[in-house]
Parts: sequence; structure tokens; C-alpha cells
Amino acid sequence: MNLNFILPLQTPGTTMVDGSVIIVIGAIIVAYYVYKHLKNRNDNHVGAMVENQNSNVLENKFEQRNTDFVRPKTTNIYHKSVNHQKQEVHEEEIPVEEKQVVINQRNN
Amino acid sequence: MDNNEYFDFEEKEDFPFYKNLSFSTNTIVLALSVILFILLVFLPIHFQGYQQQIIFCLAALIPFLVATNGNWGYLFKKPKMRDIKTVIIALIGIFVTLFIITIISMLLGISAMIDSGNSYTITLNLIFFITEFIQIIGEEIFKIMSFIFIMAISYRLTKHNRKHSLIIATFSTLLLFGLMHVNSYSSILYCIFVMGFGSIMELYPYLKTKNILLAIIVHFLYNLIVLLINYV
Repeated sequence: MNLNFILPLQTPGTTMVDGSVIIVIGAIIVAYYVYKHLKNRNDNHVGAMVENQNSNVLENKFEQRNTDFVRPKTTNIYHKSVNHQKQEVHEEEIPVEEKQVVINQRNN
Repeated sequence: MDNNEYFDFEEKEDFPFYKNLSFSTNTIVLALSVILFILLVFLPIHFQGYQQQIIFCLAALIPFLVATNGNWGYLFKKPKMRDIKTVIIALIGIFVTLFIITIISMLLGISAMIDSGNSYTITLNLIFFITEFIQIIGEEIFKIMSFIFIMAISYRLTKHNRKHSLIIATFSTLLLFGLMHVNSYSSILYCIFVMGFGSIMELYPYLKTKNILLAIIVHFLYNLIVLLINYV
């Protein structure tokens, strides 16, 4: 098996050029983007935590509102729906006093 | 996206850019990763000493950073423990693939024929290994960016068939990468089949994980093993 390898080379008979300036400028650009990436990552990390907290709060509120607004109390369809049944079970677990507080808050 | 659009070996995370590439300034800047690399290989300019490897890397890396506004995460991801298995499989795969392709090449009468005008002696020292690693970063970025651009074109040509476009992009990229070595070997067929298609397992870690870091590690380890076999 031929295990030789040669890196991609440039055209033979080429002009020799000093690339020090290109390397210095390039290194500065790369360093800037490394710094920017690290800075953004830190900023996003804090931001993400706040976002998650907000979305959870919103989701919970939405679910609670739905239990009252969507529930068709007088029809049998409600009892056939798996999702609604789950919500109902969840609601049953909430003590009556807490439920009353939630309702009062909504009315306010 | 539907799981049927992925190959079984792939992790279910898609490649960046290819679906949304449109003719914009950012796309042109991104394309410079490929164009500058090709120009540096074929233009009649040669940089002194180890500068060549570093400039190759910068030429591929900087346009990518400018186009993505420094979002390295599109290509570079933190490796996971399970990636070690992928690296080992890829390394074994490279040698198996090269063994098969070399035998086929010999049967077809295709030989390496290294261009004597381009041969050079390697001094194994720390600077060599560092610049070698830097050059491999550039080569892999060039390879992956070529892959993404070809994938973007083939995705449209195949009417959004991801699997077909992935196969087309893979083989076209390997062909292009093989052709990048024509200055080093006098046989174009050798470049295409051995240096190009022979390096399919160097691309495998990226295709699987979408993490270019693994492709760089595999490529570097392979070169290191070859150097040690030749010089020890």
C-alpha cells in the first residue's frame, strides 16, 4: 500500500512572496472573531435563562386560562377528550382553596 | 424534517446553509472560502517557509467567519464522548479504503508518480506539526464549504431530494479535493481516485456529526500515522 501523501502544493516555478503581513492581519481578524464569539456566547447564556423563565410562566398561565375558557361543561365531548381528561385530573389535584385564589386573580 | 431524508449513519441534525443559500453578499463572501483556496493553490505565488500552510488556513477560515459574523457553531461543535468511536471507525476506514483503492489503481496501472520538481524534505519538529494542523483546518474548511455549496446546487437540481444531493455533493467534493493535488502528482487519475475518493472516510465524521472538528482530528491523525510509518 502506498502510504505517501503530499499536501496540496502550489504551482511549480512560482514567485516567492513574504506573507508575514497577511498572516498578522489574518491572525488579528481571527482573534477578533474568537473574542466576539466568546462574548456572544456569554451574553446568550444569560439571555437564554431569562427567556426560558418567561416562556414557562406564559405557558402555565395559558393552560390555566384554557381550562376555564375552552371547557364545554355541558357536553359529553369534553369527557371523551384525552387531553381534557388529563387537565381535569390535574385540576382535581389542586386544593379547592388554591383554585379559588386563581379564579379570584383572574376576575381581578 | 422527515427522518427518511437522513441516511441511517447520520445524526439527525442537518447541514448548515445549503437550504437557504441565495445570491447575496454573504453567500459571495462564504464562497470566497473555496475560491481563495483554489486561487492560492493554482496561482504562481509561493509563500516562504511555513507561511503557506497558515495562509491557506486563513484564506478558508476568514471568509467563513466574516459571512457568519463569527458564528463558529455552524461548523465547529464541542465533541462528545461517543465521537471517539466515530474517529476510530473513520481512521480504520481510511486505511481500508486506501488499501482497496490502491490495489484497484495498481491493477489499472495508475501510479503516484510524485512530481520531482515538487518534492521536498520534511523536518519533523514542533513547528511542522503545528503548521500541519493549521493547514488541515484550512483544507477541511475548504472541503466542507465546497460540499455545502455543491449540496445547495444539487438540492435544487434534485427537487429537494436530500439523500441524492448528499451523494452528489460528497463525490463532487472528493473529486475537487483530489484535483487540488494535481501540482503534487503528475497523474491526475491518481489524484482523483487516491487523494480524492480515497479520502472519503476523512469526510465521514462530518457527514455523521456535522462537526468539522472531528474531520480535522481524523485528517491530522491519519497524516501523523503516515508520517510516523515513513520516518520511524
